[in-house]
Amino acid sequence: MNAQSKPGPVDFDLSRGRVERRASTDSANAKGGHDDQVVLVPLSALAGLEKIAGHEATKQFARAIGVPLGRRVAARLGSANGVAAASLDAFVSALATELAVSGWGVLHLERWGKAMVLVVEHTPSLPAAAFAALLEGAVEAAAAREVHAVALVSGAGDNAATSTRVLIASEKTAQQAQRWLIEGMSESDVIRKLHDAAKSTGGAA
Amino acid sequence: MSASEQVSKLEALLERVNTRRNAPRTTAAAAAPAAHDDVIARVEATPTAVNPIVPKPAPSTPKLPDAVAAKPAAAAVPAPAPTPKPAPVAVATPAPAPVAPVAAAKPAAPAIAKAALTPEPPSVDVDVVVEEGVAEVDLEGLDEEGSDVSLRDSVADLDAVAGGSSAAEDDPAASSRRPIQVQPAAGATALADAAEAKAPHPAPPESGRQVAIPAAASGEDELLKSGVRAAPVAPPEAAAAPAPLRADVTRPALAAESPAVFHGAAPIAAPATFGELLEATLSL
Repeated sequence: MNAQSKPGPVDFDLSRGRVERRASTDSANAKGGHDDQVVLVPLSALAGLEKIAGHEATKQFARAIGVPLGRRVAARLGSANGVAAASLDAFVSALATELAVSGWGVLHLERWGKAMVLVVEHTPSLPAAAFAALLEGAVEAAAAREVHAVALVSGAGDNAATSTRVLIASEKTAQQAQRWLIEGMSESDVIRKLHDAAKSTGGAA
Repeated sequence: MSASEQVSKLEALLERVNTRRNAPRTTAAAAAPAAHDDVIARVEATPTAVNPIVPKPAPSTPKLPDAVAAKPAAAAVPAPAPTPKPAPVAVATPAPAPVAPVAAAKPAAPAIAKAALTPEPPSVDVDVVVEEGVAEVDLEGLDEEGSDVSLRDSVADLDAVAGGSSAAEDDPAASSRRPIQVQPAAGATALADAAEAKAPHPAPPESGRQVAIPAAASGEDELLKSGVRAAPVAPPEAAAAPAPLRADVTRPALAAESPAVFHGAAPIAAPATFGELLEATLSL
């Protein structure tokens, strides 16, 4: 790294041939670890990954991409407690920045009653389920909580969609929502039924 | 010259002939009287040359009465009457009638055929006198024994051929006088009682076509069954032209000011932090 250069979100060290991602521009924290080193991979190589490695391996691969993003969000917001105490705008801004720097699209958050839905627009060509796994890893790493993400796509999904909607829920709720979506239920109906089920079981409002 | 004069001349001639025959004959002229007697005998023995009245096929226009009156008259005038003036039989022939209508000429055809097939009657002496359309015919030997067909029948046949004046032909049957209807009336209704009583005959059916009962108008079936025609029933006016059904709408007059008053605002669940929202979504 050039001593005269100021470290940014992405640092290209041409003398060593390294590309690094940094969570903060603070020089004290800009130490660079192995998690910060990244490589530029063509998107076409990821597009055929699901066909080569399978659905589950692709999800694990995408989740592994999202975890460093969440850690950097937590580092930006101080810690996991800082993430929980942060406002929605602060959290959304921190996570959206990490996604945009990495080239995964533009993030915003929707709240449907109790349900939290993360919406990413201008996403690259990646399966919705894989992208849901990426966001799942990011939120779990940021909040230090086990969460499960379900892509709100009816049926077999739409790989060519440029917008992906992901529901953040518990494991049991995510599995139930996934079954309803496979049966052809719409996104709004799934969320409504989840609220109805929470009322019948005496869930907290 | 009248007939009486002719008859008188003939009688005078006959008397002179008889006188000469009874007169004394001279010797010198013995041969001549003999020849004369022979001539007289032949004259007496010779029947009168009168053509028998034989019906002949009449031409299309019946002018036979004229022919009947003319031919015998020409032949009968020179014929001497062997008997003194028999009682004449007067046959009144009408004046030449105009050409009969076609309908009246048809019945004459059988008469012509019948007359043509009749055997020739025996020779008779006929004196015919024609006076302005009236012919007097003296028939000698009428209804003689051995004649198969009487002359009166022949005359009657000739009258039938030449006629067209018989009462039966002049007065056809009542049904024939009714005009023939060419086309059945299409608009025949039950109200045409009076007109139907004098309705013309329907046209005769074509040869080989099955004739069906004409389509009866309203009430015709009942008329054919019971003979009583039902009175026409006028359709009700309401059913003829139903009025269009329209909805009569009455709308309320709402007050300008709202009847409800709202106080405060509905509570909105808005988590302040990301942690609260994460707990809420994980609680579903």
